[in-house]
Amino acid sequence: MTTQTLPAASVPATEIEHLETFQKTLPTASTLRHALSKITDDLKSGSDLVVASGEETLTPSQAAKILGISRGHLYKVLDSGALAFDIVGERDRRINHADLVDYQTRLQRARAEQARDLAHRDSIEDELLDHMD
Amino acid sequence: MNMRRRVTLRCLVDDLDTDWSDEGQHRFIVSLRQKVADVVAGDAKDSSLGRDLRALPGMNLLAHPLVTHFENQFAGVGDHQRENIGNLSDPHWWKQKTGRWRGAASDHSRLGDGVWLCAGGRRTAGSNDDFYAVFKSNVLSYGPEGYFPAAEDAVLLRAENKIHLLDAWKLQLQLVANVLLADAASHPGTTIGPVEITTPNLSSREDALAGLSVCVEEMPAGDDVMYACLVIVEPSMSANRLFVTQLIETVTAAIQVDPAEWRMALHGPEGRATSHEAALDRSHLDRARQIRQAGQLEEDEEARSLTLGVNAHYSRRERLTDASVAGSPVEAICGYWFVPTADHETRDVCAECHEGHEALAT
Repeated sequence: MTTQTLPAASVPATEIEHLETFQKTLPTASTLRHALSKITDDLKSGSDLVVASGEETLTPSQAAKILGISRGHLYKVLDSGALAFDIVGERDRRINHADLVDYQTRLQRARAEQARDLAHRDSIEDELLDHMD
Repeated sequence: MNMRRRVTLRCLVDDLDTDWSDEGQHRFIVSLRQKVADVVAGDAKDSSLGRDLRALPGMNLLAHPLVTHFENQFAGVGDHQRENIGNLSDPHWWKQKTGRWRGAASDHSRLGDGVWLCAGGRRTAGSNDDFYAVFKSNVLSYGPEGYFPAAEDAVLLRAENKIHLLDAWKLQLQLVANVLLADAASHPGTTIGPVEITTPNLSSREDALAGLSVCVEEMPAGDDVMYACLVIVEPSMSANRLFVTQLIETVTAAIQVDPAEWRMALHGPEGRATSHEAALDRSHLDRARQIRQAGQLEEDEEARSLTLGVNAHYSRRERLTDASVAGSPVEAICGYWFVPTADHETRDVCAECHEGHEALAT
């Protein structure tokens, strides 16, 4: 297993501070600085991290955590064919990291759209009247 | 007798020019008539009338004494003696009389369905029959058509019918959602559905909109049990996105009104379907079972929609600043996506966001 889960509780605050000090030495436009700042933010807010390279695979639990859904929900998503997976051993499923990132990007876009729709629901309700002939 | 009571816009605006117990309502009708005229002219669509019509009671319930009298006369309560105006026929006109107001109403088929209040006027001192005499003379000289419901009334009626249809559709969805939830709760782990949902139309055409399924799984939570509820919405190929959006809003609200309690995922190989997850407790399921058993919603259950801003949510500061300016959605620390509003100070903060925020601040 090459992916690593990093529980937020396991990282002492002093180590996060070290990381934060270091990231501030990088240029503001640095992509590495952005990535590190996400890591410190997540650890500080108590979110566990899953560290994986693009080639690596994730367990359903790790994938569910990243997507913010329950494991049961994730299994339904996998069964529906929305997210590809491989079977290792008897019946354990693994999700390719790149596939998950792609799915997550589409999901976040859909969630943002849903939030926007909800904020404008009065006009949507009015607009429905034009499609009821 | 229980006919649909209608009042023409011309009568409301031109004839009933005073004595409104709510003068603002008259001004509202005057501006509504202008918007209706834009729709008649093809310069606007029915959607432009939606908000106004939802803000008004029915045309038969407006705050004018003649309208109230007309409503009482024809609402099917009691037996009313009706008197014809000047023996006019084809159509006949019924006298409407209350205080100093006189009016003409007809349920003749030439005017369309229901009964219409088409004209009104004040009795002037000294003569009880002024209005009726003028009305009769106008009808005899120019014909009755000028008093008939016009294109503007047809547009208004159509828009009102659509709103009623949409409201009925939403209530039906709330019922379906609870029936599916009750059945799913009785068979944990089994997906109940899909039930085919159609789009509401004025014509009897049935356009497939989406399949709706619900699955419930028990989750042990300490001494208690919680229930993971999954709602799956699978839009048909031709589904209108707006109706799917409305379907999801109505169905999720019927089960759990706080949108922050729901998490969406993309479902199915084409990525068009969505699944929506919320953790429920026993009270949600009991409510669904009651609704299922009664076969209808309680009165106070009607017209449920997602309640925005139950709790305040925190987002990372830099994202929030961008979003407040642009009105764009942001992701809260707890994972809920929302469009920030300015009125969050008075609300309780979402526990998960609070915890995450405290940690960030240290």
